[in-house]
Amino acid sequence: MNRQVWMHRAAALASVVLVGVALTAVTSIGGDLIAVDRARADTPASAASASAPAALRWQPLKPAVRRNGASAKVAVGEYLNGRLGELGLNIISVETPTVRPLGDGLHLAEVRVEARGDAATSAAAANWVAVNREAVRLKSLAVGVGPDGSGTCTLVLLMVIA
Amino acid sequence: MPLDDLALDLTPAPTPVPALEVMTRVLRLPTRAPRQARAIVRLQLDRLSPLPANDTLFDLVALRQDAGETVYALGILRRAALTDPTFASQRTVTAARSVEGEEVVFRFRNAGAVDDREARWLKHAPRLALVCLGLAAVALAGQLRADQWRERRLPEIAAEKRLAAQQARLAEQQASARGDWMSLERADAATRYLCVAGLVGSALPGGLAVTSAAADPHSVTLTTGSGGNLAALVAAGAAPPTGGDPSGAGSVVFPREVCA
Repeated sequence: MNRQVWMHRAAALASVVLVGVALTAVTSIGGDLIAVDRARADTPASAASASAPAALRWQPLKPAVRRNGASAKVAVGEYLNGRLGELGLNIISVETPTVRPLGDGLHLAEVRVEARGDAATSAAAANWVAVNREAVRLKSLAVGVGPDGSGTCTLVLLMVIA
Repeated sequence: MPLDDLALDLTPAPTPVPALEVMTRVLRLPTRAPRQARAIVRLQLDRLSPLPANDTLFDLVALRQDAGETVYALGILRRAALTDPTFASQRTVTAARSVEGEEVVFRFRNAGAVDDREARWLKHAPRLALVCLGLAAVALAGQLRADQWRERRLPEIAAEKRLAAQQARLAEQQASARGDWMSLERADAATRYLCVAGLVGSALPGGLAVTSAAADPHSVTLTTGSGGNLAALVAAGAAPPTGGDPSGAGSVVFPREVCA
């Protein structure tokens, strides 16, 4: 009888220990849930909040240049060399400081062009931009006399490229 | 080891239970609450029982509801009846009686009984241990699953975060690019420059010697050398130059309003 009592007491003690184990496991499960929930809650706001202002009416654009695997700088440089060269501008350098996405596979490249040319050729370049303003826009234009006495022209363009 | 361990008997007592003499009565009380009914009976126990109230134990069992009253079966037991050694370990003694054709079980509290709660609890200990073992096993399995789920989910969430941040950055760049493009929608430097060139051409049909020119979407600045006709340029819409040169050289600005 005495042994039976002690066995029952051991069973009772084991019950207490097992309850403790179960409670610890449940607490750990709760900790896992909270950790995942917190990690999920820290997710930044969706990209929709950063879209363009609704007030601006956006129209589909036609790209001036297609890169076809080449870098934006090379593609834009080749294109401008041809187009502006026809207008009498002798291109010295072409830089593309930024290329930003426009959506629908298009990008907006900011292009800084330095070329040799006078006021007349820069006016021709402005005219060319005005004709192609669906794909090219002129941010700024500066015409002056360079150190060697020849005319220099600096254009900052925004170009839609694909 | 406590000395009274030998007194813990987990098996039912084999000795026969002596018959209890329970006096029964039927009462009609205006309450359904058992506690209130017992209080009423306790106050009137002298009249309900032929025995002194201090020498008796009683129990009330509700039988039925009848016209706003509750019919109770009252069982009265002589307190001395529980001094029998058979009841020494029973804290509650039950006695079944037939009252008005119904089987009623009265429960009398045996205040003199030894405390057998441990023995009664211990009887359930093995079963309780099995139940707890099952619970612990389930909880541990759940914990294992939860740990695995967390280990798998946290990297996924981190990847989702990176993707969301990338998309947000992309959307921000897109909004900025579209904003820049749209800001040149009405007039860019080219249209303004051509417009000013047209105005200058109208004002000075013979042409103008320009040493430098600058145009942006808001204004056009022309710098002329000596012999420049600033007055004609001002007449064409340029802002008057500040600190002009008597020879006619200087810079003029065609503001936004000129080619609005």
